[in-house]
Amino acid sequence: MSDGKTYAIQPQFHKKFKPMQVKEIIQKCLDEKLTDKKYHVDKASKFTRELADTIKQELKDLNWDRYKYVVQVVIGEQRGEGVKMGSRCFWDEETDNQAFATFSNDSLFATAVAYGVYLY
Amino acid sequence: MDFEGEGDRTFNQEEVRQIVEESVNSSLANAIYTHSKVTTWQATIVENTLKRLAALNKPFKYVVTCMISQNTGGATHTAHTCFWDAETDGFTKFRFENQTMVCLTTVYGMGI
Repeated sequence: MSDGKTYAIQPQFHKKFKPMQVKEIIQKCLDEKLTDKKYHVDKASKFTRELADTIKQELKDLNWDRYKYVVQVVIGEQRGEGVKMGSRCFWDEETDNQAFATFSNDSLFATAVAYGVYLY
Repeated sequence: MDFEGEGDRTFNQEEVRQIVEESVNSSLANAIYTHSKVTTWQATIVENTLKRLAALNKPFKYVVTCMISQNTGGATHTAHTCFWDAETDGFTKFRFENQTMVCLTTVYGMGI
């Protein structure tokens, strides 16, 4: 974050975190990475890290100024178990937002969430 | 910018972890995974944590996530990556496990 004080308290409209656009990006990353893959204990760990990095890189490539990103990815073995994931955020609703996507097949399930937080 | 406690510009991991631990334990201690109650538990944990974090009155924005899953022996992998200012921002996590379920709660704090 090298751009010091610009006193911009809001992002420009075309450079605002757009949840729908980010959701598509996340879904695309998940589909590309995990279609036809089977759950395997060693590979799953690697996939989660790579997915998180890929999604973060795609978000950075969107070139939205002064945004901080948090990307969280969960991959689990598909055993029909119940899983509930939720989050709450304490932030500025006008500038900050989140997007998530899920993927599942017969042997695994995956969820990815991305949060974008604006730096004043 | 003038905030009280201007010295607290770094995310305090220990303090936040304590808050999360207390929230989770108060909801889930001695609980058995019940499909109908999971939504309530998860909402309670996250809201209580967030309320207490907001009450700390520090110049931070927070994201709290909570994942509760049934303990069937199946494995889950989680990863996260963050693009932020390492001097002011940080995260904590707390994992709760019993015979029937696993609960992983994470808090990300980003300095304003």
